[in-house]
Order: sequence, then C-alpha cells, then structure tokens
Amino acid sequence: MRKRKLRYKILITLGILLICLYSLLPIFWVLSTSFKQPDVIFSDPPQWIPKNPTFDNYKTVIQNPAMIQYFKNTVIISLSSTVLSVVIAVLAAYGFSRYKFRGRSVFLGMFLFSRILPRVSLILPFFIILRNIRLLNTHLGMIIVYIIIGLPITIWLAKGFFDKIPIEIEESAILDGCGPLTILLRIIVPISAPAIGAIAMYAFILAWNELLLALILTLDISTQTISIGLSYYKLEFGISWGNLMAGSVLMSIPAVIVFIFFQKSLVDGLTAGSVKE
Amino acid sequence: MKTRYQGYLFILPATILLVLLMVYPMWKTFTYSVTDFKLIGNSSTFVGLQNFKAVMARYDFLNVLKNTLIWVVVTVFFQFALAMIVALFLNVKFRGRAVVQIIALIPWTIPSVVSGNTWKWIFQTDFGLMNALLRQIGLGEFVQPWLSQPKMAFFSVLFAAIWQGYPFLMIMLLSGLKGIPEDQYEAAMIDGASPSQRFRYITVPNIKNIIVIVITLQIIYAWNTFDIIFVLTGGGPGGATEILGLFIYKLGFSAFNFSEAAAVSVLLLAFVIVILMLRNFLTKKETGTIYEKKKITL
Repeated sequence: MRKRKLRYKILITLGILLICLYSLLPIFWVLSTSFKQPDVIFSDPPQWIPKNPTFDNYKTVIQNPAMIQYFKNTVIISLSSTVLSVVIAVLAAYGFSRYKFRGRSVFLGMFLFSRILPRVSLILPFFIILRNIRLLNTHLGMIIVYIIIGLPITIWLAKGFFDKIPIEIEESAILDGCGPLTILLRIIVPISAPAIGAIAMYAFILAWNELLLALILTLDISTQTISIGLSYYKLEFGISWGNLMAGSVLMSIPAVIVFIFFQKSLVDGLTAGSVKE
Repeated sequence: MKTRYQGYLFILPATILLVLLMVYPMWKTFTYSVTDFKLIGNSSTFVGLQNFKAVMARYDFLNVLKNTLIWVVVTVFFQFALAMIVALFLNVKFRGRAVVQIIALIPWTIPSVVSGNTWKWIFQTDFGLMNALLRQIGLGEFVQPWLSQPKMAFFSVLFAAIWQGYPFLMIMLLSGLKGIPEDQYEAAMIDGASPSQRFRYITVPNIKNIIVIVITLQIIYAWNTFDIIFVLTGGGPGGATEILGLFIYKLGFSAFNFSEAAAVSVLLLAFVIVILMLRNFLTKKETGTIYEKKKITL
C-alpha cells in the first residue's frame, strides 16, 4: 500500500512538472532574453539566466517614441471599448435574463450565432463601412469595432451570471416603487460585481490582444496598436531580439495580470456558458 | 410592473450594434462576392458566380484549401488529445492544483502576437533555442532552419498553435469532468472496471456533449486562424503555411481584389454553418447521460 502511495506521488509530481515546463519554458526564455545584453543573446550554449542582467532592452523600448504611441493608442482603444462594451452588455443581458418578449429567442440566437462568425470574413465589409462613414484610421472606429466583436460573449457571460440571481430580491424593490434601471444599478450590478469584473476583463483582453482588425482598420502610427507595433517590429527597427522580447513582455503584463486576477469568475462563466441547464 | 417594451429597450443598444456591424457586414460580404465590386468608385454590377469561378481557377487556391484542411485536422486532433490528458490529470485532487491550473492557462492569455514572436525566436535558425538545445544534447544532425523550410515551417507553426490553443479546450473538458458524479466511478471500481474501461464507459459518455461542443468550436477557430501564422511565417515560405484566413487578407488587402476575397469569405462562412448544423445533428441524438435533460447551447 505504501509503495502504491509513493508511486502515485511520483506520478503527480511528474505531471505537475511537465505541465509547468510546457507552459512556462517558452515564456521563461522570452523573459530571459529580454534581460540580456546583445552579445549574450547570441551565446551558444544558451544562458538560461543572464549573468549580467540589464534593463537596456526595456529602456530602449520605453524611450522609443513610436512604441509610446502604440501603447497610448492601445490603452485608449481597449479601455474605451471595455467600458462601453460592459455597459451595453449588462443592459442587454438584463433584458434577456428578466423579460419575456416576442422574438426574445430569435434575438438571443442571433447574438449566439455571431459569436462564432469568422472574423476573417468580416474584414472586407468592416473596411468599406468604416471608410464610408469616415471612421477608418480613427480611435472611435476601432472602439466601435471591438465593442461589437466582444459583445456576443460579454452578453452571454453576463446573462449567465444574472440568471443565477434569485428574482425575489428584485420583487421587493419593485414593491417599493423602484424602476427597472434603478433595480439594475442599485441591486443587480453591486451583487454581480465580480462577474462584471470578469466580463470587463474579457472585453479588455480581447481588444488589447487583437491583431487582424487593427491590421486593416488602422493605417498609421496615430491609431496603430501595440500588436501592430510588435508584428512589424523587425521591419522598423531591424531585428533586435532583446528589444522585441522586452516589448513582448510589456505587452503581456496587463493581459496576464488581469487574467490571474479575474480567472476564477471568467473560467466559471465561460464553462457555465457551454453547459447550461 | 415589468412590461414588454422595457425588455426591448434593454436590448436595443446591443441589437442596433449587432445589426449595423454584424448582420449588415455579412450581407455586404455576400453582395461583394456576386458583383464586380472595386475599392475605388463603389461601382458594382451583378456578375453571378464569376468570382467564385475565378477563385477556384487561381493556381494557389487548391494549395491553400489543402493546407487549411490539414491544419484544421491536425491542430484540433493534437489540441484535443493534449487537452484531454491535462484535464484528466487536473481532475485528480492534489495540493497546488489551482495554481497548476492557472499556469496551464497562461499560454492562452498571452497575446497571440507575443506567442508568435516567442516561437519565432525559439525556432530562429542561428541563435534559436530549439537548435541550441538539439546541439547541446548531441542531436546536431536535426538542426535546421525551422521556419524557412516548407515542411518544417508547417510543423513549427502547428507546434506553436497547439501550445497557445489547447488550454481553452482543456478548461472546458475539465469543467465537464468535474460534473461527473463520483458514485458512478465508485460503482465501477467495485465491479472491477479497469481505468481504461472507466474512461470509456463512464467519462466519455458523461462529457460527450462537451466534447462535441469544444471540437466544433475548435474546428471553427482553427479554420479562421490568422494571428499566429501571420506573425511566424506570414504564410511562407512559398505558401507552405498559407491557409484561408491569410489568403483572404492577402487577396483583399495586398492584391486589392475585393470581390474574389469576398467569394472566399462566403465559402469560409458556408463551411462554418455546415459544421454547426453537423454539431446540432450530433447533440440532438444524445440520450442516456447526465446531460439528458439539459439543453446544450453553444
């Protein structure tokens, strides 16, 4: 029996080790490269932990005016689209969760279907439409596009969370004469704050990481986002792997931190969304 | 009093956006595909299926289609296999499981541009980690230009895409595994069922619906892959890693052939709809599991 327990422990430890190595080794290599001096980057055999770590790569990236502009654009676009997306999604999800109206299932079905619409098949009309309403290469255009791209899932997540809130809480508020908007703002939103955090996180990461639409709908440095900056890095600056890795680390930090912070509610929401009673 | 029109008011902003920026664009894609629409001038005459014929006649289209099909089958297969193994492992109770779960999800949260650059650096020919490690462990003969040799480029991009994409499947499967009642396993153990029998006769039937859903979703995602290939190889070398997403992008925004690009978009969309219908067909026939009474939604 004891032998079996030992074997079990070894297997578990091995599994943990393998998962961590597989997930983290590439990331560790990026981090390590980002702290290396140019000559160490090309050393053979590779140095896992740089002997003389340096912040030079980060300094170069942070002091590069183009990179500053990319970051600024990304922050403006992702924050604005996140705020608007959450407001619109919360309203719609509350409507779907609490009201029965004609065509409800048709509308809901439309939102669900648009969740799996291929983004690559939308790039042509998005380009033409934004060009025709003169929003091509503007922050506003990007914000609107990112709201709609995220909406199907944010609505679905929010609806899932709202459905779990017992309706009795609202009924007493209705008796007190509260209107529906007051109920939503004073009762539902405060109760579901962690869930709304997860939804905001989803919308934020979506906009922060997006590449394809930014590639088509932004034309110059005044609106281009950090994902464009990093995918064209070599063209503009000549391949400096140290700088590129430092830029990659800086771009990943917000996404990873936000994820770790809200991962529990997000994972619950996403998985509950697929198997619903 | 809750009235009906209030329900409409709540969903109004979202619906307006959906119609203007999802339904209308889809309709536009369709109209571009059957007209001779040009970027300049906005003129458009109906040309029937001419664009579709022109696309089919392109020398590289069949190659792209073939690449896409192989891409979808291989990524989904390996992502699913890996996801299932990791999910089964994380379904076992052990200390630190929550932390391992977060670590396993991290590749999925990293921006795809970053994971593209990460693997580009690892697969770099002269100073990349892959070749350095191969040299170090005495497998020098396998050292090669991973990303600039057609066959190996496809394999390398695949490797990166699996690393980045499998955590999503894993977490979905894990949530399904956690919902299986413990007593079913206990009963099977008493009956002397082996681990593989328990997997086959209890685990799989119980999460069959989730399996169908995640595979459907993943087929659709794989079919639309763009970011990681764009960053790693840009579709090269010589079109070896070019799949439909990149093909549409290049046709529309490098060759500025909008109507043919739209025709490819329509084909891509048609495929997604077929896959969804297949999914509905598969899940409807489902009976006899714990999800019997639950309605599954995508």
